[in-house]
Amino acid sequence: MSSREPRAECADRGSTEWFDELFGRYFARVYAYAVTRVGGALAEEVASETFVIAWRRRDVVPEVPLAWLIGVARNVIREQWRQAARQELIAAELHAWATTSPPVAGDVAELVVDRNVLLRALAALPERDREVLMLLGWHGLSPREAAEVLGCSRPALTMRVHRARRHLDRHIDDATRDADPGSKGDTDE
Amino acid sequence: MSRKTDLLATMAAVRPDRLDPPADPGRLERIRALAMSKPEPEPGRVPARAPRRRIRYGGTTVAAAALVAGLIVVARPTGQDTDPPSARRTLLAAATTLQEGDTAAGRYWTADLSTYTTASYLGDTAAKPPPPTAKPLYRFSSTCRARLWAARSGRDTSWLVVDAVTDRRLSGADERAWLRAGAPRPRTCEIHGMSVGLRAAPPAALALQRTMRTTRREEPTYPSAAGVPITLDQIAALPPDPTALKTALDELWLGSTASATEPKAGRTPPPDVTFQQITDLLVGAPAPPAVQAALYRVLAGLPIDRSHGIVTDRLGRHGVAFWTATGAMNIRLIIDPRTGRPLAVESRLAGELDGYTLVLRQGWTDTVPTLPAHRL
Repeated sequence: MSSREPRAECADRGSTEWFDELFGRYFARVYAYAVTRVGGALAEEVASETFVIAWRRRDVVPEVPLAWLIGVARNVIREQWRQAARQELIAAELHAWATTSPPVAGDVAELVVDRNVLLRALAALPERDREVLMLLGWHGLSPREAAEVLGCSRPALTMRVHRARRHLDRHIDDATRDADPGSKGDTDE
Repeated sequence: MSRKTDLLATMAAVRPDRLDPPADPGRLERIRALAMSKPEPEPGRVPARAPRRRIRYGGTTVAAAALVAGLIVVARPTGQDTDPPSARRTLLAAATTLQEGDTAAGRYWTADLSTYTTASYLGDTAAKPPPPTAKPLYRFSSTCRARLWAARSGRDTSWLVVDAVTDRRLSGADERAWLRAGAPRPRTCEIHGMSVGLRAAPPAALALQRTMRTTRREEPTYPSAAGVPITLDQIAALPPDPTALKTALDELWLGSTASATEPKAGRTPPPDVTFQQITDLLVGAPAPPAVQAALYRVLAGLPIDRSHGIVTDRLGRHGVAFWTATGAMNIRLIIDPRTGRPLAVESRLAGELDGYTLVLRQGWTDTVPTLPAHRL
């Protein structure tokens, strides 16, 4: 999932073909970002609104538009859902991912346990830390693009990533320590 | 944990599948139509980045615009402080939008709901029913997050999946009383007016019956309409004509409340019952778009009020509220006037918010439900 791929200018900017191409290339990326900010239930609405705005602002959509589109989605989310509501939505989403993993065996089970620990640790992070890690780890943005989305400088981004990783490490250690080896890979029950 | 090598690489390796959007062949056409229906920004007045999304209207009208992919309602400012549209006009516009903007294609109708309620704990009622004069031991709030998966075909199983239940005591005294009572876990969760027994800790799934045998009325048949269970087959058979639909709703309610000796002829439910029936069906029932539109049209014929401006639900989403006078208890239905879809239902007791249901997602899909391991 590389974000370095420039958008091919095959269609005239402002034409429906241009919009369709933009949509085809980037809807899934914007949707994925929205899921990680407000959960799957509201991601469709956020991604949809982002592309409505992209059409209205088509004169300023950059040649490589991913960071711009995610920045718009970020603003849509910030304007529509309060911080506390966002935190509740995404914590529930991450918890659901961690608790609905299918039963597996052997080496794969180890990976699922790690996955669940990681998801729970991500859920426990403040939104600020979680967002920067997801931009880089799940959404495939380069550090330059992530800095653009977050509206900060590259050195500031580096500091933010460092801090977020440290916090995540701490939560993973806590989750690993608290995990009951007897119920490895099981759900809450 | 492999973070000792690279934490971000580990994250990439466990990227959840749910980050990918579900297949939806009509999505592009729908969003393109929506994008191209919006008024163009005025030159020189373009915001620096993303413009504010909603058009706030102290006084606006809702205009229906016929577009290539169906009818989409667009809120257009019409000037300073003109009268807001009537409840009836807004509901009829919402009905048109719903009827013509939804294809209802898919194997399942699914709804993600979150219901917040407050309740009192009276002790272990399963072991011994409390006397009518029993005082509550403590008060608590409960938030239930659940998904309804209603299958179109009787060959597929329909499910209610309870994802999470969170309960909190309302005060420090309630918390202490809860601890003294042995810190009991919630035994039920309320999802939009229906109480679901929690025989297993969430996440857990409950298989729903399509039909109801008269001898086994306790069988789970979520959803309900104004407290009367309604089966998926009954919902599928609701007529799309508003007059016939109102008759069907009346019969459903009268059939459950009238005694065998009491004549039904000439009796009609009070407006707040019909309001509640319609609200329940819009929020939690897989009604076809034509029936949803008819529900709005029946609602438009009731003596109801609407908010004079935009209201905000508990998620901060903007919509228009409708309600009917019911004494101390007031039920408000909040809908998004652009799409006609319900956003939330709020109940207020003597003006204070008492509980609410948030509609997080609704619609038809070909995706099959991912079920948790446990059953209710």
